[in-house]
Amino acid sequence: MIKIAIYGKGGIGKSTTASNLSAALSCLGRKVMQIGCDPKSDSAKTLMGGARIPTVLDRIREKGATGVTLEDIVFTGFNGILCVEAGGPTPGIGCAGRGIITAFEKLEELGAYDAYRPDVVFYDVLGDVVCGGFAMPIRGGYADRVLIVTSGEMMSLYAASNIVSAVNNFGKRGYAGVAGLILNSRNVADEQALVEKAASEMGTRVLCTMPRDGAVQTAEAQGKTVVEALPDSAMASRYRELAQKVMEVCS
Amino acid sequence: MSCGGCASCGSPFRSTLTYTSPAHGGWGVARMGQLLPESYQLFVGPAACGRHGALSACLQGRKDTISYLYLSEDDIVSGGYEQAIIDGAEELLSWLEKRGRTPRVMMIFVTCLDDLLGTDHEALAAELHARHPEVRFIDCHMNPITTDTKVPPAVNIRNKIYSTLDVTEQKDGGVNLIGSLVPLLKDGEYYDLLARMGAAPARQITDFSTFDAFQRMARSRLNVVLAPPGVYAAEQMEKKHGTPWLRALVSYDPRKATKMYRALAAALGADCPDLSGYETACEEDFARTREILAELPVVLDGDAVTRPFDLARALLERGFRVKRLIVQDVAGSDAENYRWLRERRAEVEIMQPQDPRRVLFRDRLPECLCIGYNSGYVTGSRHVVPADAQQGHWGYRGIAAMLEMIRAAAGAESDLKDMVKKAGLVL
Repeated sequence: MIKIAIYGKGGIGKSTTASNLSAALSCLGRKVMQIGCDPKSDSAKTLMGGARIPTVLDRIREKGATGVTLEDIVFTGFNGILCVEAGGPTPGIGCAGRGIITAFEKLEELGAYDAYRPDVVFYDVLGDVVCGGFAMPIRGGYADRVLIVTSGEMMSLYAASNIVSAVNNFGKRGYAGVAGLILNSRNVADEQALVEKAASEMGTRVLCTMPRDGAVQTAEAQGKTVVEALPDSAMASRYRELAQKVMEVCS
Repeated sequence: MSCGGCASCGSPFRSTLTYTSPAHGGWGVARMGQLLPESYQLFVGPAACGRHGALSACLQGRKDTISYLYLSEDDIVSGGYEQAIIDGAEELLSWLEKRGRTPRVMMIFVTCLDDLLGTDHEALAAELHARHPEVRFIDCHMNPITTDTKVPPAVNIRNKIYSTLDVTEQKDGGVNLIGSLVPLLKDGEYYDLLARMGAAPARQITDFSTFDAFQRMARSRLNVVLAPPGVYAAEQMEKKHGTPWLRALVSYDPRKATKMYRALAAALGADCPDLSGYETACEEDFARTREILAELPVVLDGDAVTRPFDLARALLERGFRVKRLIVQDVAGSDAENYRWLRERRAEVEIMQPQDPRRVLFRDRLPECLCIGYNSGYVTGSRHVVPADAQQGHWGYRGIAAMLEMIRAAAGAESDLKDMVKKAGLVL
């Protein structure tokens, strides 16, 4: 089982990348589980035909901490991909980090990984490693490798650098290591060179560059990933190449 | 079992403001943790969270096994919390080492605060262990916020204690008796009966004064769970050691004790010895005790025994005048007895000790016999059985011991204040 955490600045395309990676890998015959770790809980939307799924925290609220079963929180989406959303508290109230901890503890308590035995698990994590809760996906026993999605925009690179620092800080504890950056292009001038230089300064590399392509929006409008909605498109091919690259560096 | 107090179902259990009486018994998790031989505790949390544990450790003569690291707001917001624990543990170990008291296990006790921080205790323990290879570090939790989860504090601490047992290939015919906090009475029939079923020695954590000797519990071929909070630990030991387990909960009904021994024999693949004499002796004991009590009403509380409805039922079925139970709620393992009581003996009063109406003292009943300190306090009874946390009762001997205590209390006037002091209960 390969476990990979995907981090990056808010709005940079983490969920789009994670979902297309999941879809591409499932088409390559891998059993994939995608766990959304963002209180917005929209990570797996395009794997579920555009529908939102109940989150782990929703279910705990409905059924109490001891009443939740795996069937309540794990949903099967496109091509058998197992989808989970950790969820979060009411916006502006409570502690989102604690929400992630609770969701992870619940998945572990219910033996989710043993029950489904996925080949690949993606943790799609909110913007930054802001507290202990959002470091949970990279702790021992969870993700083995971290992928960071970034563009050439300054704020995105700044966030990427912060995430690399956080991951490196935990390095001595045997936490996950950074596998590389995924450049999700925003058509910034000299973007490729800029991100490659930044990657080098961070001590990592650019694994793959995803061009800006309208196919993403077209597919999302249908509630699907590009891989599902437009499998013959150039962008779907890029996601399949990315999937192979990710497997190569994370296996 | 608590319905939250809706009027329609007539449940006696309600969610209310919480009152704690000065005679509230039971064990705190820090005290439970101290059952682990050669362990030392570092309690990490806001100062107020350590008050009860510190006072009870002083009163109960256990203050030399616990130290406190008080946290400030700065430690939390600065991200210095984990480093504060490492520094605190280092300082403490150095202090202990100088006095030749290096523990085998250091329990790092954290509070509800830690639940919000997502501390990686495994990594923390590994870091400390790398610096002090002779000491094991385990995280323990005094976090009442988890009370309504599958692993509340009293369940978690039992599991943490037994998690320090190493896996061994050296298995023997012994059995572990787990879940009880107090040593079983050494003259109980259980040791002989288990030996005759081929299960010896019968090991309990309180038998061991060193950590190395405690490790013998890993050799046992069966875990026998005497109290419900030990079930989770048994489940985890089955996963780690492959040791099967059996629920053999304390009951004050001799017929149930017989049933339990038969189940034990079956689990051990042995013939069950003849038990008829034991059951008869218990019934005679009940009759004698009932005669002494005559019409004296009995009140019992949930701090005294782990399954108060079981005890109430055993007494009621044998003609005792059980008037009242003072219990906060019903444990799953006692639910059948609770239902029996509600269906067959609805006149028995059920009161919650934490209901703030208890401070109005409208429930006085000086002429009764109370089993447990809390019921003694609520009723102002002159006859109190000083029972707390099951008293190490199990099997037929446990039934006889409870009846002995009842007879003793019936024949003398109790000084509850003195009893509470001697028991080391702390408000």
